[in-house]
Amino acid sequence: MTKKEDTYEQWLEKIKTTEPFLDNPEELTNDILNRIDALPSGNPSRILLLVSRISGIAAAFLLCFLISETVLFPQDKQFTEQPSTANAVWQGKASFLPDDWNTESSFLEKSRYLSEQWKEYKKELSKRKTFFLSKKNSVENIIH
Amino acid sequence: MMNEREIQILIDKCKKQDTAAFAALVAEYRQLVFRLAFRLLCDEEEARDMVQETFVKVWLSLDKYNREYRFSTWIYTIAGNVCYDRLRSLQHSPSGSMQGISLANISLSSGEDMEQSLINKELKELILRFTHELTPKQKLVFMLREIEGLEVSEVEAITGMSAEKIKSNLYLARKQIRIKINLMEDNL
Repeated sequence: MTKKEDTYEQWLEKIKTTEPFLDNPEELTNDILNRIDALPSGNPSRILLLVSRISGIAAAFLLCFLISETVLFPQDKQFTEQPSTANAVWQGKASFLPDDWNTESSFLEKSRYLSEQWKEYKKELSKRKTFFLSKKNSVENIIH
Repeated sequence: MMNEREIQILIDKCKKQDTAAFAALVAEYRQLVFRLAFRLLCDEEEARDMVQETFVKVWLSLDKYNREYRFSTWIYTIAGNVCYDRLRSLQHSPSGSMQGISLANISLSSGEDMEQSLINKELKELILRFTHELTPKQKLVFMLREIEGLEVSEVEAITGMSAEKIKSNLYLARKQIRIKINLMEDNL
Protein backbone atom coordinates (compact mmCIF):
# COMPACT_ATOMS: atom_id res chain seq x y z
CA MET A 1 0.00 0.00 0.00
CA THR A 2 1.45 3.37 -0.99
CA LYS A 3 1.80 6.22 1.47
CA LYS A 4 -1.04 8.12 -0.21
CA GLU A 5 -3.35 5.12 0.04
CA ASP A 6 -2.36 4.78 3.65
CA THR A 7 -3.22 8.41 4.32
CA TYR A 8 -6.64 7.91 2.69
CA GLU A 9 -7.38 4.84 4.79
CA GLN A 10 -6.25 6.54 7.97
CA TRP A 11 -8.35 9.60 7.21
CA LEU A 12 -11.38 7.44 6.50
CA GLU A 13 -10.89 5.41 9.67
CA LYS A 14 -10.53 8.55 11.79
CA ILE A 15 -13.83 9.95 10.50
CA LYS A 16 -15.59 6.62 10.96
CA THR A 17 -14.44 6.19 14.53
CA THR A 18 -14.94 9.77 15.69
CA GLU A 19 -18.52 10.28 16.76
CA PRO A 20 -19.63 13.92 16.74
CA PHE A 21 -20.77 15.07 20.15
CA LEU A 22 -24.39 16.07 20.52
CA ASP A 23 -24.68 18.72 23.18
CA ASN A 24 -27.84 18.77 25.32
CA PRO A 25 -29.70 15.91 23.62
CA GLU A 26 -32.68 16.20 25.96
CA GLU A 27 -33.09 19.86 25.05
CA LEU A 28 -33.08 18.87 21.38
CA THR A 29 -35.76 16.24 22.01
CA ASN A 30 -37.86 18.81 23.86
CA ASP A 31 -37.47 21.28 20.99
CA ILE A 32 -38.69 18.63 18.57
CA LEU A 33 -41.67 17.78 20.76
CA ASN A 34 -42.53 21.47 21.15
CA ARG A 35 -42.48 21.87 17.38
CA ILE A 36 -44.74 18.87 17.00
CA ASP A 37 -47.16 20.25 19.58
CA ALA A 38 -47.24 23.54 17.71
CA LEU A 39 -48.19 21.82 14.45
CA PRO A 40 -51.82 22.18 13.37
CA SER A 41 -53.88 19.12 14.17
CA GLY A 42 -53.54 16.43 11.55
CA ASN A 43 -57.29 15.62 11.61
CA PRO A 44 -59.41 18.24 9.84
CA SER A 45 -63.02 18.41 11.00
CA ARG A 46 -65.36 15.71 9.74
CA ILE A 47 -67.82 18.22 8.32
CA LEU A 48 -65.08 19.83 6.25
CA LEU A 49 -64.04 16.42 4.97
CA LEU A 50 -67.64 15.52 4.12
CA VAL A 51 -68.28 18.81 2.33
CA SER A 52 -65.08 18.51 0.33
CA ARG A 53 -65.95 14.93 -0.64
CA ILE A 54 -69.48 15.86 -1.72
CA SER A 55 -68.31 18.85 -3.71
CA GLY A 56 -65.67 16.69 -5.33
CA ILE A 57 -68.24 14.10 -6.37
CA ALA A 58 -70.60 16.81 -7.63
CA ALA A 59 -67.84 18.38 -9.66
CA ALA A 60 -66.96 15.00 -11.16
CA PHE A 61 -70.60 14.39 -12.11
CA LEU A 62 -70.89 17.83 -13.67
CA LEU A 63 -67.74 17.25 -15.66
CA CYS A 64 -69.01 13.85 -16.87
CA PHE A 65 -72.33 15.42 -17.82
CA LEU A 66 -70.65 18.18 -19.80
CA ILE A 67 -68.38 15.70 -21.56
CA SER A 68 -71.27 13.40 -22.42
CA GLU A 69 -73.28 16.36 -23.71
CA THR A 70 -70.39 17.41 -25.88
CA VAL A 71 -69.27 14.00 -27.10
CA LEU A 72 -72.50 12.02 -27.30
CA PHE A 73 -74.98 14.74 -28.29
CA PRO A 74 -73.21 17.24 -30.49
CA GLN A 75 -75.43 19.91 -32.07
CA ASP A 76 -77.47 18.11 -34.64
CA LYS A 77 -76.82 19.01 -38.25
CA GLN A 78 -80.15 17.47 -39.24
CA PHE A 79 -82.06 20.38 -37.74
CA THR A 80 -80.58 23.30 -39.56
CA GLU A 81 -81.41 26.92 -38.96
CA GLN A 82 -85.06 27.45 -39.89
CA PRO A 83 -86.82 30.59 -41.01
CA SER A 84 -87.87 32.94 -38.27
CA THR A 85 -91.55 32.01 -38.68
CA ALA A 86 -90.81 28.34 -38.11
CA ASN A 87 -88.60 29.14 -35.14
CA ALA A 88 -91.37 31.25 -33.75
CA VAL A 89 -93.72 28.30 -34.10
CA TRP A 90 -91.27 26.13 -32.13
CA GLN A 91 -90.96 28.72 -29.47
CA GLY A 92 -94.77 28.91 -29.23
CA LYS A 93 -94.94 32.68 -29.63
CA ALA A 94 -95.70 33.13 -33.33
CA SER A 95 -98.37 35.26 -34.79
CA PHE A 96 -98.83 32.30 -37.23
CA LEU A 97 -100.10 34.30 -40.17
CA PRO A 98 -97.48 35.32 -42.74
CA ASP A 99 -96.84 39.00 -43.50
CA ASP A 100 -98.30 38.80 -47.03
CA TRP A 101 -101.56 37.43 -45.71
CA ASN A 102 -104.64 38.95 -47.28
CA THR A 103 -106.50 40.59 -44.43
CA GLU A 104 -109.76 40.16 -46.24
CA SER A 105 -109.52 36.34 -46.37
CA SER A 106 -112.32 34.45 -44.85
CA PHE A 107 -112.24 32.90 -41.44
CA LEU A 108 -112.38 29.43 -43.05
CA GLU A 109 -109.22 30.15 -45.06
CA LYS A 110 -107.42 31.30 -41.97
CA SER A 111 -108.53 28.22 -40.10
CA ARG A 112 -107.38 25.93 -42.91
CA TYR A 113 -104.01 27.59 -43.10
CA LEU A 114 -103.46 27.40 -39.36
CA SER A 115 -104.57 23.78 -39.15
CA GLU A 116 -102.03 22.91 -41.85
CA GLN A 117 -99.36 24.72 -39.85
CA TRP A 118 -100.38 22.81 -36.78
CA LYS A 119 -100.22 19.48 -38.59
CA GLU A 120 -96.74 20.34 -39.87
CA TYR A 121 -95.67 21.27 -36.38
CA LYS A 122 -96.99 17.98 -34.95
CA LYS A 123 -95.28 16.04 -37.73
CA GLU A 124 -91.98 17.77 -37.04
CA LEU A 125 -92.40 17.13 -33.34
CA SER A 126 -92.98 13.40 -33.83
CA LYS A 127 -89.97 13.27 -36.17
CA ARG A 128 -87.77 14.80 -33.48
CA LYS A 129 -89.17 12.45 -30.87
CA THR A 130 -88.36 9.44 -33.04
CA PHE A 131 -84.88 10.77 -33.65
CA PHE A 132 -84.15 11.34 -29.95
CA LEU A 133 -85.57 7.93 -29.04
CA SER A 134 -83.32 6.26 -31.60
CA LYS A 135 -80.33 8.20 -30.19
CA LYS A 136 -81.27 7.20 -26.66
CA ASN A 137 -81.51 3.54 -27.68
CA SER A 138 -78.12 3.67 -29.38
CA VAL A 139 -76.54 5.22 -26.25
CA GLU A 140 -78.15 2.55 -24.08
CA ASN A 141 -76.78 -0.11 -26.41
CA ILE A 142 -73.30 1.41 -26.08
CA ILE A 143 -73.54 1.49 -22.29
CA HIS A 144 -74.81 -2.08 -21.96
CA MET B 1 -30.55 -0.16 21.65
CA MET B 2 -34.10 -1.19 20.84
CA ASN B 3 -34.92 -4.12 18.60
CA GLU B 4 -37.06 -3.77 15.48
CA ARG B 5 -40.16 -5.18 17.25
CA GLU B 6 -40.01 -2.61 20.04
CA ILE B 7 -39.58 0.11 17.44
CA GLN B 8 -42.64 -1.09 15.54
CA ILE B 9 -44.66 -0.93 18.77
CA LEU B 10 -43.48 2.64 19.30
CA ILE B 11 -44.39 3.52 15.71
CA ASP B 12 -47.90 2.15 16.22
CA LYS B 13 -48.26 4.29 19.33
CA CYS B 14 -46.93 7.35 17.49
CA LYS B 15 -49.56 6.84 14.80
CA LYS B 16 -52.12 7.28 17.57
CA GLN B 17 -50.56 10.67 18.35
CA ASP B 18 -48.64 9.37 21.38
CA THR B 19 -45.90 11.98 21.85
CA ALA B 20 -44.25 10.05 24.69
CA ALA B 21 -43.64 7.15 22.30
CA PHE B 22 -42.31 9.60 19.75
CA ALA B 23 -39.94 11.05 22.34
CA ALA B 24 -38.59 7.52 22.85
CA LEU B 25 -38.11 7.16 19.07
CA VAL B 26 -36.32 10.50 18.93
CA ALA B 27 -34.05 9.47 21.80
CA GLU B 28 -33.24 6.26 19.96
CA TYR B 29 -32.39 7.82 16.59
CA ARG B 30 -31.30 11.41 17.28
CA GLN B 31 -27.62 10.48 17.48
CA LEU B 32 -27.80 8.66 14.12
CA VAL B 33 -29.41 11.67 12.46
CA PHE B 34 -27.08 14.13 14.15
CA ARG B 35 -24.02 12.10 13.12
CA LEU B 36 -25.09 12.03 9.46
CA ALA B 37 -26.07 15.70 9.45
CA PHE B 38 -22.83 16.74 11.14
CA ARG B 39 -20.73 14.72 8.73
CA LEU B 40 -22.55 16.24 5.76
CA LEU B 41 -22.84 19.84 6.91
CA CYS B 42 -19.84 20.04 9.25
CA ASP B 43 -21.62 22.43 11.55
CA GLU B 44 -23.09 21.68 14.93
CA GLU B 45 -25.95 24.18 14.86
CA GLU B 46 -26.92 23.27 11.31
CA ALA B 47 -26.84 19.60 12.27
CA ARG B 48 -29.13 20.25 15.25
CA ASP B 49 -31.58 22.08 12.95
CA MET B 50 -31.47 19.16 10.55
CA VAL B 51 -32.27 16.75 13.38
CA GLN B 52 -35.33 18.84 14.24
CA GLU B 53 -36.44 19.06 10.62
CA THR B 54 -35.99 15.34 10.15
CA PHE B 55 -38.03 14.33 13.17
CA VAL B 56 -40.83 16.79 12.37
CA LYS B 57 -41.02 15.22 8.91
CA VAL B 58 -40.94 11.74 10.45
CA TRP B 59 -43.86 12.68 12.70
CA LEU B 60 -45.86 14.11 9.82
CA SER B 61 -45.31 11.18 7.49
CA LEU B 62 -45.39 8.19 9.84
CA ASP B 63 -48.40 6.84 7.96
CA LYS B 64 -46.27 6.53 4.85
CA TYR B 65 -43.63 4.39 6.53
CA ASN B 66 -43.29 1.05 4.75
CA ARG B 67 -42.56 -1.75 7.21
CA GLU B 68 -40.68 -3.71 4.55
CA TYR B 69 -37.72 -1.43 5.24
CA ARG B 70 -35.92 -1.03 8.51
CA PHE B 71 -36.98 2.08 10.41
CA SER B 72 -33.39 3.29 10.46
CA THR B 73 -33.32 3.15 6.63
CA TRP B 74 -36.45 5.30 6.52
CA ILE B 75 -34.95 7.78 9.00
CA TYR B 76 -31.77 7.86 6.93
CA THR B 77 -33.91 8.60 3.84
CA ILE B 78 -35.61 11.59 5.44
CA ALA B 79 -32.43 12.87 7.08
CA GLY B 80 -30.50 12.39 3.84
CA ASN B 81 -33.09 14.39 1.88
CA VAL B 82 -33.23 17.17 4.45
CA CYS B 83 -29.43 17.49 4.58
CA TYR B 84 -29.11 17.21 0.81
CA ASP B 85 -31.55 20.09 0.32
CA ARG B 86 -29.63 22.14 2.89
CA LEU B 87 -26.31 21.36 1.23
CA ARG B 88 -27.70 22.47 -2.11
CA SER B 89 -29.11 25.70 -0.72
CA LEU B 90 -25.79 26.43 0.98
CA GLN B 91 -23.97 25.69 -2.23
CA HIS B 92 -26.15 28.13 -4.16
CA SER B 93 -26.27 30.88 -1.55
CA PRO B 94 -23.69 33.62 -2.22
CA SER B 95 -22.21 33.57 1.29
CA GLY B 96 -22.76 29.96 2.15
CA SER B 97 -20.00 27.66 1.03
CA MET B 98 -19.24 24.74 3.30
CA GLN B 99 -15.84 26.15 4.08
CA GLY B 100 -17.52 29.35 5.17
CA ILE B 101 -19.56 27.44 7.70
CA SER B 102 -16.59 25.65 9.18
CA LEU B 103 -14.38 28.66 9.55
CA ALA B 104 -17.12 30.85 10.92
CA ASN B 105 -17.87 28.42 13.70
CA ILE B 106 -14.43 27.39 14.79
CA SER B 107 -14.68 29.47 17.94
CA LEU B 108 -15.51 27.26 20.87
CA SER B 109 -18.80 27.45 22.72
CA SER B 110 -18.75 28.46 26.40
CA GLY B 111 -16.16 26.97 28.72
CA GLU B 112 -18.10 23.81 29.52
CA ASP B 113 -17.59 20.63 27.54
CA MET B 114 -14.39 21.98 26.09
CA GLU B 115 -13.19 18.51 25.24
CA GLN B 116 -16.39 17.62 23.36
CA SER B 117 -16.26 20.89 21.44
CA LEU B 118 -12.70 20.15 20.48
CA ILE B 119 -13.75 16.73 19.19
CA ASN B 120 -16.41 18.34 16.99
CA LYS B 121 -14.01 20.99 15.80
CA GLU B 122 -11.36 18.44 14.96
CA LEU B 123 -13.87 16.25 13.18
CA LYS B 124 -15.27 19.05 11.03
CA GLU B 125 -11.75 20.10 10.02
CA LEU B 126 -10.88 16.51 9.25
CA ILE B 127 -13.94 16.05 7.03
CA LEU B 128 -13.63 19.39 5.27
CA ARG B 129 -9.92 18.91 4.61
CA PHE B 130 -10.68 16.63 1.65
CA THR B 131 -14.43 16.79 1.01
CA HIS B 132 -15.35 20.45 0.83
CA GLU B 133 -15.21 20.47 -2.96
CA LEU B 134 -17.47 17.45 -3.43
CA THR B 135 -20.93 18.02 -4.89
CA PRO B 136 -23.87 17.45 -2.52
CA LYS B 137 -24.70 14.18 -4.29
CA GLN B 138 -21.14 12.90 -4.10
CA LYS B 139 -20.91 13.90 -0.47
CA LEU B 140 -24.18 12.18 0.44
CA VAL B 141 -23.26 8.95 -1.33
CA PHE B 142 -19.73 8.99 0.08
CA MET B 143 -20.94 9.52 3.65
CA LEU B 144 -23.63 6.85 3.46
CA ARG B 145 -21.52 4.22 1.75
CA GLU B 146 -17.98 4.84 2.99
CA ILE B 147 -18.42 6.42 6.40
CA GLU B 148 -21.78 5.09 7.60
CA GLY B 149 -20.95 1.76 5.95
CA LEU B 150 -24.38 1.10 4.43
CA GLU B 151 -24.98 -1.48 1.69
CA VAL B 152 -25.45 -0.26 -1.89
CA SER B 153 -29.08 -1.47 -1.80
CA GLU B 154 -29.69 0.65 1.29
CA VAL B 155 -28.04 3.69 -0.30
CA GLU B 156 -30.28 3.08 -3.33
CA ALA B 157 -33.38 3.09 -1.10
CA ILE B 158 -32.21 6.18 0.78
CA THR B 159 -31.11 8.34 -2.13
CA GLY B 160 -33.42 7.00 -4.83
CA MET B 161 -30.42 6.71 -7.14
CA SER B 162 -29.63 3.65 -9.25
CA ALA B 163 -26.70 1.43 -8.29
CA GLU B 164 -24.75 2.74 -11.30
CA LYS B 165 -25.32 6.34 -10.28
CA ILE B 166 -24.19 5.52 -6.74
CA LYS B 167 -21.04 3.83 -8.00
CA SER B 168 -20.17 6.69 -10.32
CA ASN B 169 -20.73 9.30 -7.58
CA LEU B 170 -18.66 7.25 -5.18
CA TYR B 171 -15.88 6.85 -7.74
CA LEU B 172 -15.79 10.61 -8.40
CA ALA B 173 -15.82 11.40 -4.69
CA ARG B 174 -12.94 9.00 -3.96
CA LYS B 175 -11.01 10.36 -6.94
CA GLN B 176 -11.48 13.94 -5.75
CA ILE B 177 -10.38 13.06 -2.22
CA ARG B 178 -7.31 11.20 -3.51
CA ILE B 179 -6.35 14.20 -5.64
CA LYS B 180 -6.54 16.36 -2.52
CA ILE B 181 -4.42 13.88 -0.57
CA ASN B 182 -1.86 13.77 -3.38
CA LEU B 183 -1.65 17.55 -3.41
CA MET B 184 -1.21 17.64 0.34
CA GLU B 185 1.45 14.91 0.32
CA ASP B 186 3.31 16.62 -2.52
CA ASN B 187 3.36 19.90 -0.63
CA LEU B 188 4.92 18.27 2.43
